[in-house]
Amino acid sequence: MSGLARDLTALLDSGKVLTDPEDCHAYACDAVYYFARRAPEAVVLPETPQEISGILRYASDQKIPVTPRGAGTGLSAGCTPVQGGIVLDMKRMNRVLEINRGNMTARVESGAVLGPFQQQVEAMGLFYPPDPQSQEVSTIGGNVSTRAGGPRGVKYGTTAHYVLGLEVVLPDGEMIRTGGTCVKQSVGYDLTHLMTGAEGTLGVITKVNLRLLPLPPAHRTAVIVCETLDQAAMLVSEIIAEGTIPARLEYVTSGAVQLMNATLTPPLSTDGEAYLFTELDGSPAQVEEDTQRLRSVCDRLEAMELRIIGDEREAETYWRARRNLAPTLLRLFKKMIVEDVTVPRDRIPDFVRALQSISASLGLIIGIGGHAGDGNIHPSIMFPEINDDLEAKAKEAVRRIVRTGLEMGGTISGEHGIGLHKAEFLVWELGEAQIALLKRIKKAFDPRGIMNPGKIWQEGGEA
Amino acid sequence: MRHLEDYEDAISRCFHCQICQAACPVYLQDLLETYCARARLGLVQAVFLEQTLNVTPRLREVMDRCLFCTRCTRHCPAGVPLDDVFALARENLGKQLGEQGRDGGAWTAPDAGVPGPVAGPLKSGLGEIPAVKGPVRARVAYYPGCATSRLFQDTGQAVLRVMSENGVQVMIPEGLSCCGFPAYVAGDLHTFRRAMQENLSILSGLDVDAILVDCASCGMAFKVKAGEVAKGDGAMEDQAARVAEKTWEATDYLNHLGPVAEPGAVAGVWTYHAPCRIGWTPTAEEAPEALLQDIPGAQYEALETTGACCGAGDLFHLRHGELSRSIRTKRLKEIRRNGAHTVVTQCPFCRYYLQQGGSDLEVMHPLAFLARAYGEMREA
Ligand SMILES: Cc1cc2nc3c(=O)[nH]c(=O)nc-3n(C[C@H](O)[C@H](O)[C@H](O)COP(=O)(O)OP(=O)(O)OC[C@H]3O[C@@H](n4cnc5c(N)ncnc54)[C@H](O)[C@@H]3O)c2cc1C
Ligand code: SF4
Ligand code: SF4
Repeated sequence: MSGLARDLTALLDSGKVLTDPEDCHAYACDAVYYFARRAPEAVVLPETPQEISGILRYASDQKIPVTPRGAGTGLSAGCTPVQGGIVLDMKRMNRVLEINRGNMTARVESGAVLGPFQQQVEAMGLFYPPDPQSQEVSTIGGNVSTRAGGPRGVKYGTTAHYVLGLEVVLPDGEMIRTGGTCVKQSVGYDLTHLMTGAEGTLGVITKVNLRLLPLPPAHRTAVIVCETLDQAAMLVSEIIAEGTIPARLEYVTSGAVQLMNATLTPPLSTDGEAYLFTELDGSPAQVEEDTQRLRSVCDRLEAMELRIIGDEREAETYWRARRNLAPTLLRLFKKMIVEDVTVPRDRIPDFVRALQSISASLGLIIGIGGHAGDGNIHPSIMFPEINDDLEAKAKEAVRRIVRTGLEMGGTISGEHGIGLHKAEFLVWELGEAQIALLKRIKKAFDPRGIMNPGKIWQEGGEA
Repeated sequence: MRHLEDYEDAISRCFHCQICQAACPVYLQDLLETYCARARLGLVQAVFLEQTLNVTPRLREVMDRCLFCTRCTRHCPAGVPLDDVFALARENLGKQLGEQGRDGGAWTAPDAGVPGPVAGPLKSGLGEIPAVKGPVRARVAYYPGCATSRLFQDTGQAVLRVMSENGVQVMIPEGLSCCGFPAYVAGDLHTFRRAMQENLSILSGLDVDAILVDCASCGMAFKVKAGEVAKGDGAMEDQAARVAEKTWEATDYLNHLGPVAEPGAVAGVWTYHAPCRIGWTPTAEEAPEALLQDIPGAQYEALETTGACCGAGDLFHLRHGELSRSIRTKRLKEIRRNGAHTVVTQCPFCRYYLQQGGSDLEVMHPLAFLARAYGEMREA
């Protein structure tokens, strides 16, 4: 047994410590596996905050890197243990501790999986909107740590808007509780929202208090077939400018629809260049009114088709196809780089045109598919082959996309976080002074530099 | 025959989306990522294709702790054929470790009372095939697998009875043997292929409208896996295609044809447990409800999760008792919450294993439930 394995099994049950190469291999990367991978030296499966506290105290003492991991669905290499050390798999801490109807709040352990939690909440007539498309498996701790969003971002915001309080184990093993269960709080620096989106670099989140909403009684899904990308982009701003904020508003291109058609009956026509998947929600009267308004905008802008899906079960097949879209694309392509640049909503048509010109000038396939309603349209570079030429072009395309997005008043990450994948561009958005401040904050939390080192900014990030 | 190298491209399609975590009964029980399909796939790639990891006892343990439920393959949006890769990995492992197929030797029948593969020709033992009532609407061949031939003859008798009531003329071909799926699961692809060759040569020559099976695994073997192991052998590919085209799960077939017999009343609450390996036909999961809901007095209560495993996994439960029992406990809890006394399912392993864990329940094939309703009709 290695020294590390021996030390860890002195702290924890031996069943919760794994050091075989097979187990370490399973924890080497997230969904940007092609970008970075590195097996840790040990995987630990804690079940209590006290166990985590013991591990962190030991790791601080020995200066061993510790990387928290939820489901490993991240799209920024956030949970990739780039400097080795210990991976803390949080998924055994998965209890839903409380759903409080009166206060409309919930308290969960951070390894709780989002999808089942949402089902539980909805069965009580309540609603937890954040819906990263990995919701079947991603953990609430991972969602909080990346400020995950999804199709519902347009109307309901992202995970960050629902976090009221946290229980955190700090790198020296100290446990703190930030925030609480009140919907308003004004006490000191807002550490709750500093930890939210910290990508595991400041401490380990063990419990989360979440705000809930009443479940809207009526839902209606519709698909709009658009002749051009441009028309789709115009529709997005017009629908909202008319006063309807859809619960979801997603942009999908025709290539993607062809793949999705395998699970849709009847299949969608493939004549359009772009498609908008949308859902209206609210009271039945509100949904009716919004549907009429949607119809009139589609008529005015001459959309090719508006398909209203009446049946809820059928509607779910559309949303499932949408959820699975990213991995489904790998049936056609060898690799795909998903970018997360987000622009203000009124700049979507400009951004789409700019993407088309970047793709034409470099001869690349750039897919667009994402949360159009909030400007987060995930430009994705598709690789029919993998070769050096394409890799170089893709690199150039990413730089241009990021520049263009920033020039339009956008941001380099709407929801995936920076991790390692986007660290290169952090300085473009934040500048040196802000990064220096971030590093001082990091140092205050983690003077020994053990928490998920090597992330967010390039070089020298670890204390 | 296919080799792991033939799957290199398919393996590289994995997006690491982790969606297979939600599908895998073993992962969901152990909550250790090593056991989810994505990680297993990565290990196969590293050990057998990239040669960056070695064959170790831990690797064997990881690859063995898989029910071969095929749920990961069914759920993978990228279309990675995970179970085919796992079968080949088991084959390679067996060769490197100098072992024969696992599962206690795929061809020896386990203890009496436990369903499992039978060596030699299948003796159906189902008695006389009842005469068709009314005009003949279809002619079919029935493949009663090992479990029905040896242990659960009631399923076979029910299939014969129900078909005859509905104008379907059934014949049971001579000389059939085990479909070989247990050998496939164990990574003994050679044996699987040989068994398939024998069966295909009989079944592909029949002049029938359909070939019926009562077991999800036999169906998957004929519908999907036969074609996979036939690749590269033109004649066998043709036979496999012909048989695949005609293969139906019996409940699904009757529902598709449309029943004509009127069932009598059977009182009680029943539910449907969909076997993991029924994924080869999308309609087989809808058939039991469609077909049985008209039985007077019988009340259908759907289970909350349509796709949860019972934990059996052929003979997996004999080697991984604790894990299998934990998986079964979750499923039984759900069944009991739902209030059903009768559970219908199209898999003899699910039937056996759920029944072992739930003496307060009765578990049977959907057509056995229908046959019971027909029985009531006759007595009335
Ligand atoms: C198919 C697919 C679709 C996706 N769709 C979306 C989408 O629509 N919107 C979106 O926002 N994202 C999406 N993602 C990205 C990803 O699912 C989200 O970022 C998600 O929030 C990650 O959760 P996880 O549990 O997998 O976390 P991981 O990937 O395991 O970790 C993410 C980060 O959080 C840290 N972390 C995890 N748990 C803790 C904890 N308890 N304490 C401290 N730090 C922790 C990790 O160190 C890491 O930095 C998608 C991913 C895939 C594969
Ligand atoms: S579901 Fe498929 S693509 Fe996704 S991680 Fe699993 S094997 Fe890979
Ligand atoms: S076949 Fe079943 S048990 Fe095996 S990895 Fe796939 S989902 Fe898990």
